[in-house]
Amino acid sequence: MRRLPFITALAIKNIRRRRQRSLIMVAAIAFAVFIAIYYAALSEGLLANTERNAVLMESGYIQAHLPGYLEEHDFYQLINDFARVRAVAGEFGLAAAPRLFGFALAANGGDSAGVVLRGIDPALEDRVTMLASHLRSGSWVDGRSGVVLGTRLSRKLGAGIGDEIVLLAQAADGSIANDLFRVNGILKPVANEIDQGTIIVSVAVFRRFFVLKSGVHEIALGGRVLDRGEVAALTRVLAARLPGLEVKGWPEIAPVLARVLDSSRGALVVMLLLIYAAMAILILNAVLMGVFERVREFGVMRALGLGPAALFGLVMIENGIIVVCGGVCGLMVAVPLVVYGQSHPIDLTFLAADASSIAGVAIDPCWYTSLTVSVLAWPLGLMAGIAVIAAVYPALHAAFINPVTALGYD
Amino acid sequence: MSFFAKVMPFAAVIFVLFPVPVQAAGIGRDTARARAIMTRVDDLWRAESSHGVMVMRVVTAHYQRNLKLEEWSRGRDESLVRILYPPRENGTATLKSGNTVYTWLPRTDRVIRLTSSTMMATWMGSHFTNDDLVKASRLADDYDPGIVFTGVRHGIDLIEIALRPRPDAAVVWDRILVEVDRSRTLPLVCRYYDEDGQLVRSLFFSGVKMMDNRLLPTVMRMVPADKPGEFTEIRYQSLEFGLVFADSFFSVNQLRRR
Repeated sequence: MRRLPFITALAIKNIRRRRQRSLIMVAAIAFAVFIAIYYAALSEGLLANTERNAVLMESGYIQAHLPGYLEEHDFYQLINDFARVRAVAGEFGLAAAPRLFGFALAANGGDSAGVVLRGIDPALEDRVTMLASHLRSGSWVDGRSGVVLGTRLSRKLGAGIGDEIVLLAQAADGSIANDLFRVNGILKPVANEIDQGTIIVSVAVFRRFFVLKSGVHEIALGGRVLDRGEVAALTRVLAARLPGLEVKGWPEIAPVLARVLDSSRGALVVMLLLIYAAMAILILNAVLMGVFERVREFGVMRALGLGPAALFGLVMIENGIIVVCGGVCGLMVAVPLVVYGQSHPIDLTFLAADASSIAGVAIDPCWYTSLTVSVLAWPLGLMAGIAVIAAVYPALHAAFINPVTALGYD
Repeated sequence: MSFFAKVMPFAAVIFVLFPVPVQAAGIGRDTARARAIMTRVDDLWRAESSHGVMVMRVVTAHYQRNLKLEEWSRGRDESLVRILYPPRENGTATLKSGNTVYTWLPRTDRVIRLTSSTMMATWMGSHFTNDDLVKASRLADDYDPGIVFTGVRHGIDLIEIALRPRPDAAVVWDRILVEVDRSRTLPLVCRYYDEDGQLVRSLFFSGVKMMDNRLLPTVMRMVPADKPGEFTEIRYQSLEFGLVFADSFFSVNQLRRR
């Protein structure tokens, strides 16, 4: 240990002595780190975007229903004290938005389709989800008869902005609800359910149409960014504060999506390991070459009294310095590009005009990067680990060199 | 969309067409006899043509509903039903032509063709489905009848006939049991079972009266098995047979006329 400064100085000298090889190594590692970080940032961007679409476009972070509503979708399972739920949510800094759902038949000319009518309060909904800003064309719902359609539904009905569509349903009192509605806007792809069969109206219009005086089916909570841990914790607390209601976080409401996102993040690490396996072989080869090249030199050092530990340390430190330089260079290239990609997406609309989907949630064809701690930590951490492991064998080889044979080595 | 079926109503159908099935090919004495009975039962409400007025009462856990309906029918495939009461829904009409059902809504002045996704939806908020209307004329093609019981049950001399779907038929019910009053050959009750053998709903017939020289049950009550206290009851106020209609009567144009 007391020889550490000396060995480090020696290592730096060795690196500078073989400048060309050192630079190639640094460049290779920098490139690998850059690729890994950029790839991780793109994947995370895609996953975060999908999560955002699911949470901020549709579910909200947390939802409250009457027990069983999520399974039964019984029109008469109504929460009658929205104000209380809203007040409790407010204590935790959460906004609350009421929602109503009813089944209807929508018709435009000769085309008709079964739809879910979704009643929302435009002002409150806007604080929980970003659906209003996700319009492809037209304007958002108003308090009058204007409605907003999912993208595929609008195509199925052949209904454009300004068209009048007929809705037909059974009202809460059993009567035949039917009325004309004007198409105000059409959404961008959000999620299969919304895209294919949802018509959004204001709560007031919904109540008039379905002859429903009071109550809501669903209360969506959100309004600030929450990670999974916070969602789980808040869900528990709110469930305790709201007896008689079923309070669920979005991973419970959309378990398939949550699992897909989790496993995609796991797959990312596997992908990084594959990239780095190639890097490990490159490092192993380069360090081993460096050791074999200097067998005689190491023999002299041993003969002069340096122990195996010192030689082992020398090789490891030489390698470590190169890896750190490579990592820093990679970071310096990757981070600005990732930051740029956060606001300047890769536009894939030419490949897929309409979004495809993950677990029923639409993927934006504009691909943004996302800079998070894990996006940097995984690529750098794995790189460090793999660099150390790859250098162990050459370093051991150097450490246990036999000075007698080594001195005769040519 | 399976829950879709739960909450939808639609305008009218013809009650005349709900009751049971008819002739179905089959072999054996029992089958032939069962078929003869079913044909007789089925033709009770049906002639070349019919015209009637009925009241419908729907009782559910959430609402009660009283309607007055006027219906016209010709043969097996054509029918028109119009709501006379309540005023809010007055004029709403349903046309059945073959396997297609159209609804006219006076409030919006639009004719809507019901899609397959709405066929299992409730009809006018009742315990009948739109599918009941369309399938009524196809039961004969889809089910084979067979006698499963003859004798006295709950004090009535009756014959029980089981309708089983044919192997290739795409049907809703796995089995329909029909009890028929033996002496008058009038239906007493139809019980509908799903593929798990569970009773889903029962249709009871009562109020046997003479109407336009025919003796028939004038009250039908549909009772769902899983919703205690709920039912839909239809009561004929008048019924006449053998009318002559212009061909244009059962058309979309006629549907729009008040």
